[in-house]
Order: sequence, then structure tokens, then C-alpha cells
Amino acid sequence: MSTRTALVANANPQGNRQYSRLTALKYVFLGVYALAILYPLFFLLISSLKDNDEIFSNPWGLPIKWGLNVYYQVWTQYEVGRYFFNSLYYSLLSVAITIFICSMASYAIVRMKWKLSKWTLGFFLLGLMVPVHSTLVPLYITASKLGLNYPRITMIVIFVAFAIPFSVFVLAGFIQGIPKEMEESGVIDGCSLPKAFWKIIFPLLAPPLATITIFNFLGSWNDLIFSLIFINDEYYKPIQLGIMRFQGNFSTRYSFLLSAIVIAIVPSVAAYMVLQDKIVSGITAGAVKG
Amino acid sequence: MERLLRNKTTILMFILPALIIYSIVLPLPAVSSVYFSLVEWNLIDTMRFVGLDNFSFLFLYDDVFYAALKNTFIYLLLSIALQLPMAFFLAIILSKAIKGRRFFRNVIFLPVTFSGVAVSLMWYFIYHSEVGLVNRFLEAVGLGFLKHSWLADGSTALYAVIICVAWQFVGYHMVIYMAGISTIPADIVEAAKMDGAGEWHIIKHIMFPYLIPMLKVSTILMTTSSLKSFDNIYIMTQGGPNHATEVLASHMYTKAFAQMEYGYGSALSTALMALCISATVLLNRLFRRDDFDA
Repeated sequence: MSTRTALVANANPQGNRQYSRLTALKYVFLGVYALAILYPLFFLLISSLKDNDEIFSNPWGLPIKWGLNVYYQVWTQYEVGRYFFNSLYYSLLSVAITIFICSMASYAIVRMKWKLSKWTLGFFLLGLMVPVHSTLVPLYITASKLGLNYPRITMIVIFVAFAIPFSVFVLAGFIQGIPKEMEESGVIDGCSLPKAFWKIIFPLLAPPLATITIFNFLGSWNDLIFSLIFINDEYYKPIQLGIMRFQGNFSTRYSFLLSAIVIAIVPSVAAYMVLQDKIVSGITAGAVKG
Repeated sequence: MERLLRNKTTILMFILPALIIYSIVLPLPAVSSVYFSLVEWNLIDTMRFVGLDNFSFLFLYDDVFYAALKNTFIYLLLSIALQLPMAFFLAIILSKAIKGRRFFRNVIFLPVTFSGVAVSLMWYFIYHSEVGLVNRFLEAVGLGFLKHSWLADGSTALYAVIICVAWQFVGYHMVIYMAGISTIPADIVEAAKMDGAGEWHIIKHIMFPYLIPMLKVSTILMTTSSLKSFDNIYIMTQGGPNHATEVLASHMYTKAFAQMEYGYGSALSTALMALCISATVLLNRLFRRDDFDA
């Protein structure tokens, strides 16, 4: 009883004033934290537009002469443009393949009737726990036997394979919720089952496929370890590997490295802005069920 | 319909592409790397089966392995200590319908989408001894005597990397906790408020118990990703100076792919895999004790 009165006493007007002071404190904290995220990014951006002299003489202010041509130089002369399109090629193609094979596989696992379907799902999900590192040596040995001559195919196959466990996990969960009458109506109209799948079920998968697209795109775009091991030809380097070349001669011109970093994160930021809710829901799905 | 769903050809056609690609890239290599850990091979000479020699060298003579193990655990514990409370605190503040909630959530999450390479190179610049933001800032506020080459000094390098990683990933765990908080039935919180429960009381007795499953998931994620951490170390310090920031994954990479000791590298990756699995099992046990089965 006495604790109860104590708690009620807390709800008096004085408590209210305390409450609003608390709110102000929260905003201060949030503001400082947001600044700690945004200011380094802003500093990176403005510094990338300055030449070395100005980085020393005017570290805090906006650039005096806007040296946008460093971006042009890095993009063309230093081949960041090619790295960029290599990455785009690996990421987009592997995402497209993942979407096709994973939606078929998930459908077969959830809807079709065969003995090992549950076991197969478990086998796919096991992949969520395999650390990348324990696959590297055997994969490298296999790839070097095949001659390392097809770096593009190697990268895409690896990105697709590592995208499968999460994608099947998300898709299988979603397909379970689709009413069975959907494809039955298609089959009754005379479609074959594969045709009914592509015409009726596949279009319904748009929400989980958006989640899969953004996660796997970021996964391949941001990869370092696989490209480090499987690509030694300058011509095939993806962006993350490519921009590391500027670290070596960092001090010759700081803005080379800085502008390359900016170029490398632009697609991530763009993808995030377009599909932010999908990212949040993907993490949530993984966290709640996993 | 039933007959169509049992059609073997259709089933195989649907499942095989994914199953084949997955099997040859993930489970098969993971298993064969355990086999490779028992051989000595540089890909050029003939492969030699050496039994457990790689492991006995690893545990008995490899000082770098022990340095890497120690650093990996420092990395792991400090990452949890920095990221978990901060993410939890931010999630609680942002769980209320306060103004700008979406903006703050998006800003704090933003770095999660960046690559490890970009973030590491950016912090390499931030920690730079002459033009870096940290030293510039210290100078500007009159603390110039604290200036330091953060990544080049073995006593600060590992902590510098840990801070950079926390900067990137707090938002990830915050989003997990926010998702957890949103599953708490509003009437429970309302009822507690009616009874006059203060904010702290609600956090401690309602939010925290509800969030235990999320805390489990995020702790497991932080643990396994810290055990496997590679990108940030590789770019910011290369494991140096003098192995001061060497971690298990960077040691494994150096052994296997720079020194071409594929057998020994496999032994290291097998040890890493064993650590990841046992950490996951252990944490699952630890959290089961007071799990609410939400």
C-alpha cells in the first residue's frame, strides 16, 4: 500500500515539470549523438573538395574554391568509374539470380509435397551460421584448379550462394501466409504448375523480394574478403577493393581518397533512402524469429 | 492439384538450382576446411597429411595466435560494452512518439549501410595524426598535448578500431530493440501509468523483460561478428603495429593467403568456427534461464 501511494505521488504537477526537463535532456542527447554520426560525414565531404594546402590552412570551413574536378579525375583517370560499374554488375546480377532461384526453391519447400522438404529448409538455414572464413581456403583451392580465369562468374556464384540462406528464410516465411486457393485457381484455369507459380505466386512476393534485394545488394556491394581473395586482376576489381589504392599514396593528395570514399557510399545511401522501411523490417524479421 | 504438387520433375526443377549453388559454396567447403586443417599444402608441392600437427603447433607454439585470441576477446567484450547499452538507451528514447523520431532513427542507422572499407578508410582519415578530425579537434579546444597517432601506436590502435566499429553498428542493434519495444502491448504500459509507475519503473519492469529475446539475438550477433571481424582491422592497421591489433580472422588471412600455408590457415579457420558455434550455444543457454518465452 505504501509503495502505491509513493508512486501516485510521483504523478503530481511537480513530476510533470520534471518530465519535460527529461524530454529536453533526451533531445540534447539525441542531438549530440546525431551530430557524432553526421559531422564526420560532413567533414569528409567538404575535405574531399579541398586541395592539400587548403586542408591544412582551412580545415573547418567550406572549401574556398570548389574543386569538383577531383571527382572527375578520380572517376576517369584513376578508374573508380570502372570499379563502380564492376561492383554494380556483380551486385545487380547476383541479386537477380538470387531472386529467381530462391523464390522457386522456397515455393518447392513450403508448398510442394515431398519427403525431405523440412530437412532441406533446415539445411539452407544452417548456412546462416557458417562463418565466411571457413569456406575461403577450400573455395580458393577449387577456384584456382578451375584457373581463376572467370573472376566475374566466381564472384557472382559466391554472392548468390551466400545470399541463399537469408533469402530462403524470408521467402519461406512469407509463402506460408499465402492462401492455397491462389495457385489452385490458376491450375483449374489450365495453367501448368510452373506457369501458375510465375503468373500468380511470384508477383505476390514483391514485399519479401524488396527486402532480399536491398540486403543482398548491400552485402555484395560492401564485400571485401571475397574480392580480396578471388580478384587479382586490376580490370575486374570492385569498388571496395579499388578505392584501397588511394590509401597508399594518401598524403600526395588527400582528396583522392576522400572523394573515392564518397563515391563508394553513395549507392548505399541511395538504396537506404529508397528502401529504408524494408531494411528495418528485414532486420526485425531476422531478430524476432532468429 | 495434389498430383501436380507431388510431381518429381517440377520439384527438382524448382529446388535444384539453389540447392546446388548453395551446397558447393557453403556447406561443402565448410566441411572440407576441417579436412584441410589436417594437411600441409601450399598448392604447388604435393599435399601432405600431417594429422593434428597444425593444431598442436597452433596451441603450443603460435604466439601470434594467442595475441590474436586476446585481442579478439578485448574487441568482443568492449564492442558489447559500448554498443549494447548505447543502443538500448537510444531505442528507449526513440520508442516514444517524440518529434523527429524517424529522423533520428534514420541518421543513427545510416552508417550500418556503409561498407567496412569505406568506414575504415574514413576513420583512417579521422585518426590521421596531422589532418585527422580527432587531433584537429583536440588542438582546437586547447588539448593539443593529447595529440596522438592513434592507429600507429600499439597501445591505442585496437581501441581506436573498436570505437570506429561501434560508431557504425550501434544503429543496427538500436533497430532490433525498437522492434522489440513495439511488440509490447500498449495497455500494459497504460495500466502501469495509471497505477502511477514512473518512467524508470516502466523501463525496468516492463520493457526490459520484454526485450530479453532481442537482447539475446543482438548479443549473439555482436559476439559472432566480433569473433569474425576482419575488414576494419585489415584496412586500418593490417594487424599491426607488431601484432597489437592482430585478430583471429586477420591472422588466418595472413597465414593462408599471404604466406600460402593453406593447411595451417584452415586450422585457424576451424578454430574460429568452433569458437563461433560454442559462443552461440553458450549464449543461448545463458539467456534461456530467464527467458520469458514471449
